[in-house]
Amino acid sequence: MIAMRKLTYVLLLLTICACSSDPLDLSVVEIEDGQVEAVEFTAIDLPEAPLPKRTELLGTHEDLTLRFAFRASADAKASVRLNNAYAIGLPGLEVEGLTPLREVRLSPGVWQEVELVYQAAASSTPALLSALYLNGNLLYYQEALGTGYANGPLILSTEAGTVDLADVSSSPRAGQSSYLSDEGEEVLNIPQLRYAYYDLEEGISDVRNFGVLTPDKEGFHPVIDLNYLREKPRDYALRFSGDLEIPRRGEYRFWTFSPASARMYIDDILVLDNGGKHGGRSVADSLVLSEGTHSFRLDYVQNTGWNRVEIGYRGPSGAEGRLNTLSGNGKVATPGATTPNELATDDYPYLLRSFVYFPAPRMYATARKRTHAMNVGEGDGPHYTVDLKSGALLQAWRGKFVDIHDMWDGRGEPQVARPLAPALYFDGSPQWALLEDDRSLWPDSLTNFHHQRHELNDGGRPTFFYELAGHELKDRITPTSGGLDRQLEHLSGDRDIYTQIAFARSITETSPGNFSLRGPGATISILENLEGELILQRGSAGDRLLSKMGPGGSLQYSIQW
Amino acid sequence: MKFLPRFRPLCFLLLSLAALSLPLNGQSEADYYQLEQVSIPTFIELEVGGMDFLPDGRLVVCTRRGEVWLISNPGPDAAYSLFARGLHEPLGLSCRGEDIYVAQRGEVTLLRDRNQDGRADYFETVYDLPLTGNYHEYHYGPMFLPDGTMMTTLNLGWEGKGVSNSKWRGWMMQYDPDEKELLPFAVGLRSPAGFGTNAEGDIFVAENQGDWIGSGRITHLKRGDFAGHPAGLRWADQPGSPVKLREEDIHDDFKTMYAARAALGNVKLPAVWFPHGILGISTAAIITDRTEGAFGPFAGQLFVSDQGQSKIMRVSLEKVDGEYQGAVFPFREGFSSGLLRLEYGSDNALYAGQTARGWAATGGEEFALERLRWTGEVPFEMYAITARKDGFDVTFTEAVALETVKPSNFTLQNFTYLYHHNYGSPVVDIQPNAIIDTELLPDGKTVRLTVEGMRPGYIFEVKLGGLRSAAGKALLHDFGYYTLNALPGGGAGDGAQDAVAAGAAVTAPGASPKRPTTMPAAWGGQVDEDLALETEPGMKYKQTYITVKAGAKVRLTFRNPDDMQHNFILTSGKMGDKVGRAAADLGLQGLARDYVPDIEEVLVHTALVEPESEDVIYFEAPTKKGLYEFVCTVPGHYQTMRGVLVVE
Repeated sequence: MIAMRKLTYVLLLLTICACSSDPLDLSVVEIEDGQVEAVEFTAIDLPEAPLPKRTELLGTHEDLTLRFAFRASADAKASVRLNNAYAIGLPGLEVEGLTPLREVRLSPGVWQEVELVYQAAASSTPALLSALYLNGNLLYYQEALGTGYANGPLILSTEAGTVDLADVSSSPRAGQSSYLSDEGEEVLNIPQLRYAYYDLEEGISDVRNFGVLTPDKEGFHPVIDLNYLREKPRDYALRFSGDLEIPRRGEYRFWTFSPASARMYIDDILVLDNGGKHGGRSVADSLVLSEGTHSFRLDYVQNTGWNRVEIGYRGPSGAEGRLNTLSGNGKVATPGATTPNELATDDYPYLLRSFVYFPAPRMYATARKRTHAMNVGEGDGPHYTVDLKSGALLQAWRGKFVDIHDMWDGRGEPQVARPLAPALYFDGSPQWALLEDDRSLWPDSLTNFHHQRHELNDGGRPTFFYELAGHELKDRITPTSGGLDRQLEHLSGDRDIYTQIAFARSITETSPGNFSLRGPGATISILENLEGELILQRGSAGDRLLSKMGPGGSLQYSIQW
Repeated sequence: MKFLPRFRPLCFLLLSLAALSLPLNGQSEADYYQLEQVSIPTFIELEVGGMDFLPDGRLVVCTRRGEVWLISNPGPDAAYSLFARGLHEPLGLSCRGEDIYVAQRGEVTLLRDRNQDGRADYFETVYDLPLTGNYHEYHYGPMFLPDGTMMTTLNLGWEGKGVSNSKWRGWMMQYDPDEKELLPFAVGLRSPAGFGTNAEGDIFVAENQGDWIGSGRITHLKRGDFAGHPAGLRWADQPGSPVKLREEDIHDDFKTMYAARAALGNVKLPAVWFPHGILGISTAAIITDRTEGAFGPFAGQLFVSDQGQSKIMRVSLEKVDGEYQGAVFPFREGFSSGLLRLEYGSDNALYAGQTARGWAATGGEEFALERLRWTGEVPFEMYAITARKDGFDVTFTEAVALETVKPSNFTLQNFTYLYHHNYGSPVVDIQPNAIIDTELLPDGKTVRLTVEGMRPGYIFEVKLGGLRSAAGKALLHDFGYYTLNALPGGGAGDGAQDAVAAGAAVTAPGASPKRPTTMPAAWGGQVDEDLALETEPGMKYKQTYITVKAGAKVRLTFRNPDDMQHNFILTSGKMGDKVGRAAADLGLQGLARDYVPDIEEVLVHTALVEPESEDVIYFEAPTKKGLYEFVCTVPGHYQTMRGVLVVE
């Protein structure tokens, strides 16, 4: 009899469990996304957490590009020490003697992404922090660190609190070097150029005696950017030198155009002679180069009123490109900034529609635009940008709102609004999708997705309404002290619809409904999930947290960083 | 050294613009139409992109910075209230009841204030557009038709020339709100910043000089029309397209649009051409006078604004052979900024919304909101010109004094423009027309001209001499241009017609004594100074202060990366204004001469340089030390586009 009752209880329990599913239950599925890792970077293995107070990440090193994610406790005080001599403070990224380009405001316990480019000191040149990006935002650029030659390992030193590291990888170069593309095409680039600048007397037509001249300033720059480096319109010379890696042996054709004097040397051989005074002229020549490192030098003398030099190449595969010169087409971010024009916020949310650069533009890299972006700014933030073409939350930031110089100065040719504080950049893929099943790959873009309208409440806060293939959707984002709260609703539809909560390099469930993200770093808490089922797709490129929402479903979560 | 012109101008026919800017016989335009300001608070950058009136009389203005302002009591004491902000460069606004429709870059938006707190809280996407991120992809409208559909136009992108890289760029579109369908209506547009309907409800679009567009003009558009610029034809094979032409059908060999239409059929000739530099440089808004006489004697005619020359022109239309053609006359100049939008208020004043950011305007202000009010006095003007098989009927606003009606008081010549991929066109194939007879018709207001040399496909300049009204008034304006697309009754007229030869007559500018394009042999291959001068968007030179040594041998490279033509003229001192004005006086000959006047104050000059091109000239710097101004003399440019060559 007792056995029967137990059996009944068990059966009852089973029935109850089968009928009610916990909305915070997480289904984890593996997906085949076919992503390939970047070849140049080598992962660095870390000891088990918690890390020792002195953790050696790399042995003695020279030039270095380093990527890592870190997470610091509220009381943490640590540093990453390049060559065990130059300290980058954690979590604040302070560097002695340097002022960051933007204010750093980080929350403890949230993963942050750092990429830094370091050039080791040589006999006559200081150590150089070429660039440091925090979560994609540029903090330092071409800053000298100190003159002492340092020959030590790469160390993480923790003085107080806890710092976790993850996804640490490095490349033994200061910047992007040459490589062969997936299609087998040669892409040439000199990661770091050394320059020497000479102030010359008026009316100079050529310089053939660099050997006896002393440069007026020297430094490093990744691109031959005359406008940035020169100190007067004409009558100066710049010598650039660096290491050119040739990724494949073969015949390379080089060309240069300049209205001024330009001579290009490879392995100290004068390959292109566009020297002297001659007006705008092109010179080209070919030579066979072995695979490996070759020295490069450009001697440029500004003997006319027009600052311009272009260098290009054609590799054995027929691939063509520019060699460290600005090509003029395509938009690139350059260090010579224009004066920002702040669009001030007031007590009513400012919904500014604009183009935005997305992903976050890198120095001297072509920037891409999203053309239907809505920036919402309120007080001190967090402000955010949504892409009306896909419903995606693109970026969020605290501090000042946006720089509208590129929209309202002259014709406003870029028409881009830029966040005026370091932003948290999300991945930008569509917010919604109609997947076949939980394992289907997330689409890159949507064709039948439309922003229908947005409505403002009495305080001016927007709610966005979208439509995807007959499904009616709603999205409301609310700034909070910790970050943003978001409520997504599947108002009507004839079947389930998937919505993306986050995509990151790694998403970890810390407790039911709570997730820690790394790459980008944030924490996400599910506050409500009606008619929804949480799914975590794990792929080689990263993890994607989704909710499968039935018609009438409502999902509410907070993003904190 | 004399500058030898390529054409033999009929000097006594050259138009003198200087005379036009002076009051004729003591009259001025202000005697008939008063220009009044609408006040703007100092904290508002009212760069007008669109405007319309609400039923309660308030004026709604959207600005290029995305704001929408409600203006009560528009006038010297206007009150402003912010309705919305953050729209993306809206360039058109239309009120429909209490609803406000705005064309932003990426969509047409319907704005509503549901909780009636004076601020929009509902923003509905009526339809959206794909964009490439190119700033030239502007979006204009919407204009509602009586059937409830609305019309909008899409500007081409700019990549060294007009391009259509997003769907439907270069088209006029028609949106049906019931079917929620956006349908292609007509194609061939380049910069269709303004459009409107005439008294009959037919749609006219304004176009600006540019690649494939010889000069500014207005064109009547019906469904399926191709208006001239081929870039939009890229989408002509899409579902719903009413146009069968393809991009490759359009090429330079036709020489004129008239010949292209004869060959292809579907090439819509402009109803009225606006000769560049004389009657505008960037034609914009089109509005019909529907005030039934409260705005003067021009009821039913069209007013067309110009953004670059800060003025309004007037158009009279007729139908010949089933198609519109007509005349354009000067009307009112002197506005403060660039006129982009025109609307009538319930007070029968004509409101002009203005902006000049990025495109400098003669008026000089960055933006303005002004209105024109009829004083009640009727000016003595040409009212309309209609064509006849053997001449024209010129109708005046008032009875004409019979004794002033004689052939010597009428001067006619005709010309056309080339239809080619180049930026703009010089005036070509200019022919004078002899006046055989003049006759004052029984109505007392119309003069019938019997003219020799009538030929369809040409534009006729009608210039008047000492005509007076029967009451003794002098003319307020004394010229107009009639676009003769067809002769009444058909036929080719008796004028010498040779559109192909017209094209052949235009040759590329050669080197002239004041434009040496090769290094003088005497220099022995040595140049002392290599100067680079570049243009900048917004009618400016990048370098405005250049220093050279006296007598230096200079090679000047003049680069023009802008999206319009420019030139460089070095003047003999502080002569920038004088040379600029002399260039304006070149009138119809201007473009053919690269806008370089033949006066001694011109020292050296470049050719008129196309967008994304350059010109190199060689000259010796003046031997006398001092300041030498240089200017660009393209119409509308010289006031802002100038610099100084310092000779030391």
